[in-house]
Amino acid sequence: MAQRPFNPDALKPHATSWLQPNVCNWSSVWRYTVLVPVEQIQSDGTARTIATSDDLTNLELMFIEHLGGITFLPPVKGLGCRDPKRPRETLETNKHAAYLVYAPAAYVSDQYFQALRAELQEALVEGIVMVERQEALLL
Amino acid sequence: MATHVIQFRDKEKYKQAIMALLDVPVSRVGIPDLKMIVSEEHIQALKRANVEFKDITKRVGPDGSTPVQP
Repeated sequence: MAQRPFNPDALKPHATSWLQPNVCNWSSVWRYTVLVPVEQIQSDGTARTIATSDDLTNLELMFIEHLGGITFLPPVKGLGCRDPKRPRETLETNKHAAYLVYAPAAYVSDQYFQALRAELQEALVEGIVMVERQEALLL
Repeated sequence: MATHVIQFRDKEKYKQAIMALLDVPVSRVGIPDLKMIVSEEHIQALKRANVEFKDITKRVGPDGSTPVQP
């Protein structure tokens, strides 16, 4: 399966008006961290671009449109093996663009981010795109 | 460390900025209307990459009023 551009329209059915978080005192919100792979570096030095500048631009503008704003964290690098059964042969470093987004503490938010993960995985042909959720209380 | 509010003319300039700012080891915020809230490191990176932007920061003097939350 070939890599294709990230399609923000795939998220439109999940981007309801409920998705805008209530950011005020004592709001209970969910904070999502999304790691989007931008570069894969193998142990032999081979580097491959994954998410393109168009993908990152469309993703960032989509978050702003659907959720009102985002925080872009410094890039995150991780080391791991693509195939856990062959750790030495498949060891690689991945550089990720890291986004931190607030969303309502509600099921619609999980639906949105699950759809986002599926779209990113399909577009970038990645086995797993990391999306994590934490509970937060805004003081 | 000064914070700046900046704005880009169009989506193409915003895209150039995203790539120029990708490796800056400081967080930034994206907000509607092609605006970003950034720090001095981001400003320097944009200047090095010759990415055009407008600094729309409004500085308030020491006697400026502080917003009060309801």
